Amino acid sequence: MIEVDRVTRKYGSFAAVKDLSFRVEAGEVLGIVGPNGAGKTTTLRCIVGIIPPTAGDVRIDGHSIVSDPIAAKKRISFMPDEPRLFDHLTVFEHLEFIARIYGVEGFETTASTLLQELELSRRRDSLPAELSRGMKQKLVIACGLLHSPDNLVFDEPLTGLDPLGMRRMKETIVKRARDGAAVIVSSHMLHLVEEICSRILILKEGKKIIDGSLEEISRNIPELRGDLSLEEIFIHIIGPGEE
Amino acid sequence: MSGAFRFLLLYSLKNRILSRLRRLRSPKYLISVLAGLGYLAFVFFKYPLRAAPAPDRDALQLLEAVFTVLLTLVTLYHWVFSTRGKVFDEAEVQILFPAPVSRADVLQYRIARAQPGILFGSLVTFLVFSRGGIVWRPEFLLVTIWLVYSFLSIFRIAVWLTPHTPAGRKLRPRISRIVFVAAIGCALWIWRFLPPPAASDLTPQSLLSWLHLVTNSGPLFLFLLPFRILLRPAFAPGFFEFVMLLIPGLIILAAVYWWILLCSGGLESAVLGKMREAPREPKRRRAQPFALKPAGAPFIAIYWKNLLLAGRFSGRKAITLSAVMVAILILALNLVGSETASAITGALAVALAGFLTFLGPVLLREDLRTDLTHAGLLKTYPLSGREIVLGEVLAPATRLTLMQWALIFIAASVLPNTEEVSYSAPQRFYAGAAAFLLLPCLGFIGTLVQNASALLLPGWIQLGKEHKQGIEAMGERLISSIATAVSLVIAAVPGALVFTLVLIPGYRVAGQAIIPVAALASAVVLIAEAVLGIMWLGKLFDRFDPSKELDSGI
Repeated sequence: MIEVDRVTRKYGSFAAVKDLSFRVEAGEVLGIVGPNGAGKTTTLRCIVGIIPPTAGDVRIDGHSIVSDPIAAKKRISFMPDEPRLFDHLTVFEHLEFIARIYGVEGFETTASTLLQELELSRRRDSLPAELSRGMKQKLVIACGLLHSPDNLVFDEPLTGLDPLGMRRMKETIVKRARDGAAVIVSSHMLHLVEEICSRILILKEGKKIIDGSLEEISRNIPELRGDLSLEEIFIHIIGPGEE
Repeated sequence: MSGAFRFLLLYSLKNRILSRLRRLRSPKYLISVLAGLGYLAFVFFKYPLRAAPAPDRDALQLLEAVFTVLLTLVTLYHWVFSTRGKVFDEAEVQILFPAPVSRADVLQYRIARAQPGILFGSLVTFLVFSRGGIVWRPEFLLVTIWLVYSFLSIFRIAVWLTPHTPAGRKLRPRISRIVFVAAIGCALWIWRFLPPPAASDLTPQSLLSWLHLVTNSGPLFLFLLPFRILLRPAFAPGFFEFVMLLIPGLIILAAVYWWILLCSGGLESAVLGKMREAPREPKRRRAQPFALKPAGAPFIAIYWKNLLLAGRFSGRKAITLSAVMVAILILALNLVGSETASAITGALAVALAGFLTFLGPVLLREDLRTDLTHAGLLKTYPLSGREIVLGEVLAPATRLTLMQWALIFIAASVLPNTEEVSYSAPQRFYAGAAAFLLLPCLGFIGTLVQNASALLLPGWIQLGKEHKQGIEAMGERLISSIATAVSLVIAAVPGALVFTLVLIPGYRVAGQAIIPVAALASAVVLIAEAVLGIMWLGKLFDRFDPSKELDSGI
């Protein structure tokens, strides 16, 4: 479970995230959407412990990322939009490295299965420079899933993937949630969010505008008809001039 | 060069300076600048810049000989190793190469782009090495340093371009063969006609005089002539002589520029060379430093990763260079007789071990200086800051230690035991054991100092694997080396005190045998300092905010 409790993140005098609170239960997929500069990526970085919140706290399965970061980080994985890999480690060495960092005993079987699922088996001895962007993205995902975390955070998970890769990624996210993981997906691809997320949170200028399932959001905005798509809701809330 | 390139150069420079100045709003950057300026002011006060009224002619000739040999070696290094590597950055390739501009324009831009770094590097080198009036006129030295740095910068571009033109592909191996045969010819000529001083007469002075004699006679004089021409202006006594000596140097610079223009047809091919060579199929399994088991201390994973980086990206070059050096050494041993060669080799090993203690931490950088660009990724790992710092600094410290131990072993083994120069076996053992204990501790602290500067001043340190290469970064490297040296001297004070406190009373009881014991006591103090340093750096890493400190934000 991921609990975001009154998180504020400031850069100088500018607040990128303001007093944000929400929680993601086990088995739930929360989609975070918002225009550029809404604070989505800052929120995700605060959740996974890359940057400290200026105020508030994030708890991963009850462990605070501020006061007990190691226990919290053991229980979460972050898949960023830009695949950042170590240039000098091969595909399989990345998995060896992550296995040691997270203490994954007998990782070889899981690693081989992940590489097979993500169609990287033939590339296990390749360096990142020898991989396409999509393959790098898949490797980041394999690293993130290797220690079978109960909490997953994806930032634009479909970027750079081919159609088959996109389909598999969507299936992976849904399957992990079905198996009991708490998942957060941040994306501008509203159809993806609509398809796989059980709840949606819309951010604007660092503040939560609305949070709930698509039906709940539609119900809470009386001027909208009942069966609108997320795109129509998004444009209504954010305004046509914003995105 | 077109107006667009001039705009790019000027505005990039202006914005770079402004962004660095803006950093001064942060107290840690301001304090660093004030400390640096304070140090410079102290040095200026102690050793004011002045012209030498009558410099020692012999000393000047020796300086010229030493630097001519050094410049020749650096140029040969570029000739061998600079055919690959990055000359243009990714943004330049993506934006400038599809633009409707001539290749000559792009190359002129690249040459001009290096100039701010070269000018800064020249100034820093000049300020560091020109104290005490060693030449007739200090300003001539400054111009000469600029000339030499500019030559090396454009020579590197020329070497990078050459294999990518049809004529260059044919000429390069021929020139390499000619240079190789000439070098062998020179070595044979020296062996036949100019044997070095005997081991009994071997002093630094006699060795330097021999070097001067060798570089000024026979075929080696001709071989070194272009490099001597580049250095000569520094030693001019007056303005007229300086101009007359500068003109041939500028002609050499122009000749290299002309060579670059001749090879400009290979520009795109040189830029795309790396991509073309990228294998379509994965390479065979690559060697690892040791097998990484999934169980155990997690920071070992970072150590393992950094050892891999060191092996895969700098190992080949280091091995080649070491092999060349060993070959030269063996050749020298055979040519000049074993006793003299042993003395030279031993003295060189001692000097190199000491030199590595100060410069090794600057050069070996498979630690936070490479990885801080991945700070966002490192921070997601379930490791404390001090575990990450320890994992990061271990790889360069290990490599440095191995190099220092090898050099200590060579020195202790080969230093001669003659009537004139006597180092008895126990003396060698005591001194060797002390160095064996102390140098790695100092090297480790030096590495911590470098990592501290990366964490404290990331906006001013070149981070990442693709850190700025070449002569343009000379100024920053020199500043970094001075900071390491000053910090090391300060860090060594408690250790030196303990060493003295153990040595003085112990010497009466145990004689020279107390030296390793005193070194051990001193090493314990240095290790305690290193542990404190790791804890402090761990806290710095925990507080490190990539979104504030790094331009990339992660």
